[in-house]
Amino acid sequence: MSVSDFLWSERSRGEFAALFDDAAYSDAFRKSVADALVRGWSNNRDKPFWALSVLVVALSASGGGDDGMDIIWQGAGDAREQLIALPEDALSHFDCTVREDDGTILLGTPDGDFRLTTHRLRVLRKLAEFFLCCDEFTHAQDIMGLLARLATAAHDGSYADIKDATREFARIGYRFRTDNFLDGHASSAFSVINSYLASRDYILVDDTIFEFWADPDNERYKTYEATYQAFANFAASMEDARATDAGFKAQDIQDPALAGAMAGLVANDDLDLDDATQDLAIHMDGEDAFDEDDQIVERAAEPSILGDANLRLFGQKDIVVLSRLVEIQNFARDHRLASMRLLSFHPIQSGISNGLRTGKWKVPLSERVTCEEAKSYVQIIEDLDDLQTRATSWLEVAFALASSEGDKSGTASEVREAGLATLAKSRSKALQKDPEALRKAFLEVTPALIQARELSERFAGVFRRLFDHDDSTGSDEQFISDKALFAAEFVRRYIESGDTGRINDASSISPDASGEQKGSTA
Amino acid sequence: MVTLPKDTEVNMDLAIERFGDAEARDSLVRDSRASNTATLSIHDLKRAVLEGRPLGALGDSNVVPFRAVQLYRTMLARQSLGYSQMARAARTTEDMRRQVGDFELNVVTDDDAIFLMIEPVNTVVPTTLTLINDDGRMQVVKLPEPVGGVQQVGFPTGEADTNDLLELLQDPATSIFIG
Repeated sequence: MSVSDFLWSERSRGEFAALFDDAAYSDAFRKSVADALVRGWSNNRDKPFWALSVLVVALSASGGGDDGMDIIWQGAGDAREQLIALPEDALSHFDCTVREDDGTILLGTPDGDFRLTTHRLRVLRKLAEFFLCCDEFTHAQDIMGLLARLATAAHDGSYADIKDATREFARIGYRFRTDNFLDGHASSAFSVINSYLASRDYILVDDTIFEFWADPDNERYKTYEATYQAFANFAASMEDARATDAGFKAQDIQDPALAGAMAGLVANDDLDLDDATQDLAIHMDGEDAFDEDDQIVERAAEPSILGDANLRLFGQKDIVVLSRLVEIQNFARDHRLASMRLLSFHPIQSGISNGLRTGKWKVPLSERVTCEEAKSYVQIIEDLDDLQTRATSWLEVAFALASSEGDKSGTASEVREAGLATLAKSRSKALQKDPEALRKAFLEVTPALIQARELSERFAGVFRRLFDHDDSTGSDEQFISDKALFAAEFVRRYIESGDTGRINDASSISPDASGEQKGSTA
Repeated sequence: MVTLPKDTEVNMDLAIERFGDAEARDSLVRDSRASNTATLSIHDLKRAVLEGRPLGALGDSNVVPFRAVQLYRTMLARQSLGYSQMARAARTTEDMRRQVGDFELNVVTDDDAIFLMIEPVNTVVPTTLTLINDDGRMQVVKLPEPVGGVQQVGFPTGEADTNDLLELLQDPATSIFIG
């Protein structure tokens, strides 16, 4: 059976990749954009389109252009400022408020509230950019028309106009997916994993992932990373299906609330029921358009902001690690060894893929497959400790800049002193700014710093416990035996098969993770 | 060790759908790291135009797609120092004068050449003049440094490019952007 390497059409892959050509973006951010594009928010594919529409209206109402393209030209930070400055009576169709607790923007529509962090604004901007350009600009004209309609609706139009435009927007999204994504491949992958796990009584242990990947019958997933992600996705989709199903079963069809909702759906829906966007009406009729899960996701900060030129607190290698931790955090808790293997050996496979693709080898293939460059588990844990220490120091700086000398309490002033000392010691050019600019810049990255500290602390602990029963060299023993396992598999894949002319799973090539990128640490 | 729900316990259609979505997302992200593509993003449009890439049909990576022209036009309208969407050309025989934002654009026809002349306002010196017609025709003219307060660029008459430029300039459906 021959299996295609790619689930998406070549064109769509190029177009998605091109979205991120204008600046450095972490995998975590790319994932947020891809998520909004294919899964939506809270399992509702229409929500991002909804959010984008009301956002365009709000920006247009606050003095934006009549083309509705402010979000594209301005950038997320400016958009946020503009929304904060929005006069109270500027919007006639919904409310726009700033939440005091976390400073996020709340757009309250009759169908539910949209909470927009700067991160979400950036995601929505990319989503709009994508639809303007996708399918070789096929929809550019239509999308510009929709944006202009939304801009008009800000001053002179009804809420129904906004809904209509949203539906059309969502429809373009659905069509894009239907035209470019090979759904059949995903469902056949699902069946393969399902029968693999069924034969093992649905017990998923760390080794299952390695064994599946290294199984000669596995033609589908060429990288350990893709295999890891597929199992994580499989586990999540099964859990999700069980939970959703249980929810439905618990609610009897005779339940007045459910019956009412269904009646509302039929009565309100002026669309063809076959239309994929019909669930727009179903899911949006709630008090809050976002559930708890969303708020958690939303709190996830964007790690790449820590490497931004503005402050450059962390190097590229740190960002790659943080980005990975954000991505795997739920699955990694239960699959610690499988996750350490990912952190240690995926960079090696990524380097091999890069070499095969570009023909350039910093380290020859024969040497690379031995995994001599792989980071040991002890090293990974120590690096996380180090990351945590540095994140803590930068948080002290943030605190020192935000506080004044008036804070006399013992701990606060100690932290402040420590922060100022760190700042004074730093020779980084990015930190040579005036105090006010520095304070502002640190304020912006504080959530990401907190996240970096939490993640590195938590994962150092999680990984350390894995080897609790061993003596202090235990993890290295595990690493040494794993290194032999991976080396043998790489040899089988890349040396013995002689299949080196072929790009082996280009889907996993990651210049960031290959460890060859120059990392700068502040 | 984790025991997952069995296939008898869940709505498999729903599980497959969710799995497909997640795989769609993850593969898109993985692929995006691998591609160094010639695909144009919205941010590349300006560069592509300035590089002098011709307008072209789909499938050719070295052109500015026809379909992107309108998008580029709205972008220029935002980013230009001055622009005029509708022609307000005051033509006297061959010569013409056109107000583009705060700039005055003069076209002077000589025996063997035509000259575009732009007078910069304040201290802002534009670098390009872009002409985009409703029908998709487009030309980009790089502007030289001002001499004696005027930026002047000449084109030999009788050549195809010059004729195209003149036609675009004289067509009321041409938008002019100075940036």
